[in-house]
Amino acid sequence: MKLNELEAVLEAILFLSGDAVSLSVLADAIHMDRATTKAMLHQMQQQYEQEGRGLRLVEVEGAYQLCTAAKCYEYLKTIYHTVRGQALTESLLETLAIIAYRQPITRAQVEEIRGVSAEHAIRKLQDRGLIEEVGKLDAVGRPILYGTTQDFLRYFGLSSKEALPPLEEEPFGDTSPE
Amino acid sequence: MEVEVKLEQFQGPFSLLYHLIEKNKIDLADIPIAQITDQYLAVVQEAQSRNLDGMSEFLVMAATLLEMKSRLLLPKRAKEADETEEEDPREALVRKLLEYKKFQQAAQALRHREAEAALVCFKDEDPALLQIRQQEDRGMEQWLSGVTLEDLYHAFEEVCARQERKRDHRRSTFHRIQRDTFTVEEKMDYLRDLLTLSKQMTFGEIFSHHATKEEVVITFLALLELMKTKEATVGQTSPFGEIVIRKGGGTNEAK
Repeated sequence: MKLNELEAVLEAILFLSGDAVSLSVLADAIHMDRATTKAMLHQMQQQYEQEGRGLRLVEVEGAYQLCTAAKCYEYLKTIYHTVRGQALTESLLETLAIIAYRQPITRAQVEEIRGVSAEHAIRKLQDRGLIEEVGKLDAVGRPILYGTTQDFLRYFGLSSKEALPPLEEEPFGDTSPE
Repeated sequence: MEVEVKLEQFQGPFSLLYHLIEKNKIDLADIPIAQITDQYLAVVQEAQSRNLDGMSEFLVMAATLLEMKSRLLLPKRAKEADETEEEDPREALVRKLLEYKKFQQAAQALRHREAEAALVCFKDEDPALLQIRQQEDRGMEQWLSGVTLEDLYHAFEEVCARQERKRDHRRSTFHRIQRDTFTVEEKMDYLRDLLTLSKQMTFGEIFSHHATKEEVVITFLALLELMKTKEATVGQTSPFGEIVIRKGGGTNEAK
């Protein structure tokens, strides 16, 4: 893989950091402006994929990090204990979907949509670091508003909240008599 | 009424309702409330007969459906001049059902993504690097804010521990030139000399400050040898107390 010198520096930084590094920090490190750095990172991203390497470069909300390629997972599984946790239950997944698409949203609003209590689900999702408090609603009782976290994006392989696939609208449409 | 499904299969009343609607191929624009209500109630009653927990929301929906059914059975009142037409109560329900359905489908899409993303692994943040990143663009106050004395103490401890681990004890004591290896005989002579100089000493005193583990072991072996020949006697006044070494009355081997 031929990288120019600066790309090599970026690669080294990302390896060392482990966690995501923001674009501005990366740009400062190689003394380039953000647009150029971003273009370089995008180029590297493609190279990793095209060359079928064991690593991939991902972007999560304007920060970059290295991760393993999905195709390697079967091998990694035999050597490392991956602390992934259980897959989410239907109930948690539904609650999470509502919060993700309607954030910021209060517990009561979630319950309105689901038709059932969301207290348990919200607590569990918070424990798993997939949602967090993002503020309080300016209404009676100042209820807590919830939103998704950066870990949520990583958990589902999304680069940003905008990358969520759009909600499907029902073909029936409006049924109110005019 | 034949009940084919069990209440527990459903996440909530909307989920159950939607299932019934699809099963009966019902047009959402014109839900037959009576039929739906009866089927819904059948499932709920079946679950009730088993004393199932967590049914409250399902029961609320049952009540709502019954209310809707009864309202639709009532003859329509003549409209007053300034009265707006009442919304078909089914519309609110349909809206909620559709809304719920959207998220149910979104959840399934997320489920797919979850499975794919589960094959990708990330490396955890390296704690040693936290220092470097916290230094970016921050004044000293901001940097130190939130740092307690306890934090500093722990950090200091950690650094010392790391230094200890890195230190090669044998090679780093160079302010005294000492031979690396000792023999038991040498140490036996050394102990004999010490015992001649002072008739009594403690175990700790016979070692130099920077004794290596090797030296300690060999000295100990030498002491055992001297005890065997009764040139030294050893005592201890209390358990785990200091070991006291005294010159014994045994034969003094000529050097």
